[in-house]
Amino acid sequence: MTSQLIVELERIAGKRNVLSSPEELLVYQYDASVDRGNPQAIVLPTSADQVSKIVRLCNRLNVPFVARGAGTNLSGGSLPIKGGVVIGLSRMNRILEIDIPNQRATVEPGVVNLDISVALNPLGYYFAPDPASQKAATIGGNVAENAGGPHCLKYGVTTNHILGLEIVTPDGDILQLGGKALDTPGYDLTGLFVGSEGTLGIATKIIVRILRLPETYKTLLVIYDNLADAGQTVSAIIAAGILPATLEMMDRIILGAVEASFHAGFPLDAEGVLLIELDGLTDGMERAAERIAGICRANHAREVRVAKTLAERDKLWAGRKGAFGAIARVSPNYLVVDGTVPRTKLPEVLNQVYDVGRRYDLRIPNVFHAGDGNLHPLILFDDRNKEQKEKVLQAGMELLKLCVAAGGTITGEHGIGVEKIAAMPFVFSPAEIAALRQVKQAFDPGGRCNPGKILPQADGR
Amino acid sequence: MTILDGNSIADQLRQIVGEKYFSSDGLAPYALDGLTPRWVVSPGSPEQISSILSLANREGLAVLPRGNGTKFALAGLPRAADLVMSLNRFNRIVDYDAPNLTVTVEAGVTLSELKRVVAVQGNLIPLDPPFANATLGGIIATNGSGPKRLAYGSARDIVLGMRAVLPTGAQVRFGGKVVKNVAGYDMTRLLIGSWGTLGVITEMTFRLLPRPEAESSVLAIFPSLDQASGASGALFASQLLPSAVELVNGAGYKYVEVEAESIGLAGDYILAIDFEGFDEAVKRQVRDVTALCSKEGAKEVISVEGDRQERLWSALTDFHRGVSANNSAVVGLKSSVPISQVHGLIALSEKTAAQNGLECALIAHAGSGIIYTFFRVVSGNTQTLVQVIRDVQFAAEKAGGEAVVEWAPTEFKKQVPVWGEPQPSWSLMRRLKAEFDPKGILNPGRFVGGI
Repeated sequence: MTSQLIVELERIAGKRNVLSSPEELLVYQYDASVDRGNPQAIVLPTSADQVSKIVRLCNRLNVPFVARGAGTNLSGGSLPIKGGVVIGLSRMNRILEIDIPNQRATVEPGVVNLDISVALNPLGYYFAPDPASQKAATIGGNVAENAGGPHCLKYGVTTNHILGLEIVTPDGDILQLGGKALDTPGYDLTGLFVGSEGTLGIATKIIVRILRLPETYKTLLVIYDNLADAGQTVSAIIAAGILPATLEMMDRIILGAVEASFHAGFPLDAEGVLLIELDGLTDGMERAAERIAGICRANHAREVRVAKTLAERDKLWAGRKGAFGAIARVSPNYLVVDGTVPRTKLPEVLNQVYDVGRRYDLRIPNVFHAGDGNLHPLILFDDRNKEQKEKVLQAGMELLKLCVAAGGTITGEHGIGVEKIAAMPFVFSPAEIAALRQVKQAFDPGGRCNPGKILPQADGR
Repeated sequence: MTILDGNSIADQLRQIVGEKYFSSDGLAPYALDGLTPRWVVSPGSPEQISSILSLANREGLAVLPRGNGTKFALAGLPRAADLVMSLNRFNRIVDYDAPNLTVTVEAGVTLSELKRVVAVQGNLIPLDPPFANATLGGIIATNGSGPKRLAYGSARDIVLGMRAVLPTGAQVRFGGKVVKNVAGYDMTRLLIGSWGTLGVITEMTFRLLPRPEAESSVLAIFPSLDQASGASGALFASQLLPSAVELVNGAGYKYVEVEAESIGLAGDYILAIDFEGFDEAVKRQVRDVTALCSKEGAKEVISVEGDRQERLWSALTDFHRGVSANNSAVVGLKSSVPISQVHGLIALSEKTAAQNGLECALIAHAGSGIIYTFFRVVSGNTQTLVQVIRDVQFAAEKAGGEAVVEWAPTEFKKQVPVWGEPQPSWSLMRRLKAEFDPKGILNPGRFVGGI
């Protein structure tokens, strides 16, 4: 069966775009999550037409399929856990159009997130959603996960910047959803598709909103001896009626790893820092920054530093965005938890996170989007230690329960994937899960489009 | 299937909501497109709604959810209308969490009430559609929006979660109080703008913003559409960050009920521009936009603040009310096109109206690509009106968008595709509808593709 599959895939995409040797299959078994998949073949199409033919082939041969961008997925969304074909979109990586007057760009799914802004910057524009993985993650993946990032506080998440999609449905049809204009009549299929984790079809063209680059940035690094104070500061800034572009937090262990990697001037003797950024018109920015500094000091900040140049700013962000990678200095593996809580609950929940770490005898450093209450505790472990890994998965679930109990949810930006299926009942009733199944059924009655993700198993599906 | 026995259904409805909240006569005010419902009920809880919808499924009743009816007449013709379900008893503010910038309200709360409540703690709800007495359930179900969507986005950008009752009676909650939430499918976005065809929304959680420090507006009067469009284009290409940019034609401006400005109206085009934010930034932007508009040929640029500013934006937001005040024979279109196509579509609409004896009054959210055009027969007739509407719809589609017939007499709606040209994606929408509402009890026939 697999050999027939491969022959047909080669016929559609060309021999050099089909991978099936053991070594090639091995590298597609994993992504950035802790799970593993089991691909039968990899195909790298170069057009929506090829994607459509591949999907129809998979339907004909009753083989599951899963789309994959750069594999930076943190919840197992890119993994072929039921076997089948991985449809890698890295060759569909062209920016098709930049339309400044309409504030839109049309891109293929394999374009790396950061590359969109790199292409737009010389024209004075950029693409706002900036997940930390943006140097590697593709826009198709961002769409699948409804990716977030530090600048969500002011600019929203990926879905707020996607106006239209061309998708290949699980039946193999090519459909246009939305467009350059707003308010397309009918159901918001674009909004439904974003964040559907590749289970409702495959995006082959993406129409994004592009924004004018801000006139000015003001970036502050605020140093604390006590994390609770940092957490209080976050709420106090919002309460003062100021909504910065970002409000990020990093704790001691993270700072150590990040400073060793990036030398951006992060303190090595602090309990934590806030990385606060304002952007927009220059007028009034100085006064707003002073007000923020005042609030930080009133909440016992040890020191407030302002980045004086764009280069300094870039270094701080390289550090923040490189945190997950830098943690490799401290531990071979980590499980990143992605719970979200209401902002005001942060100090209390942070204490609970450290508490869980103590009880399970695990180190749990924290780097996260404090402004929108989206935590990222990194539970450190060694994958070769099976016992420890078990503890880690349990601790992870406990942290999610804690977030839900605080009025939040189980995933702010990384998705359910495989990893958090067991946690779905923490936030959804059986009736609600049934409704999600109905959506899936409407798009993918055959059940071959990225099976085994998001929804708990039922009726063998 | 039980025989359709009117009395038996009435009895069951009375049993569910209570005699006081059931009505079966004097229902003319609830008529829609020539159909008068048989019953009107006002449930007081999601459980009651669930029972009603279960009953409707058993008996094959067509159910029309209703808020305060401000947009009840919009959309396609219903295939049937047995039961109107009013959400007016769902009028509580459930949770106002000012420190976390969220507010949770029931579907029957009006926008004006919500604005009042959140203003107390210095917040604002980033939503400015027309009709102050519209209910939030209705606004969200119809994806209502206003001029400030330019800065704030629309319902899909500010609703964090909702509770609803699905057509088969299941009570569900999706989303929550947090902005970052990707658990499961985005059912909130599916329900927003779904026109009451996938479920009955009973409660919503909104994201709030802090009140801006300062706000200031500018009115610029241009002698031609080219110049007004040139100015708005230059504005959007600049560093300035307006909260709203409204383009109104002369025929439209005379309906804007603001005290008379020193404006020569006929043939003029007006840009109404609003800025919010830090004091220094607002002042700078007013200076810059005044210079920009003058450079682009404005005859006059007027600064508008305080009470006058409030009245101006209230009138612009409620443009439809002004236009249709003395005129029920107005046909109103909502066109949505890429921003750069606004100019061309306005020019075409005015030209074809003039050629066919129609008045064309319009207002555009220039930075969002949305145009509300109102046609009134002056010396033409209904047939020419039909042709003009079709011409505009065709032009909107060619421009990469759509034009929906929002306001029109029933007979007129029968002659035009209300939701525009059918799209291939509508078949997927029909599949979703079939999954959630297999018997087609909610608002049957009123939405796209016969949904």
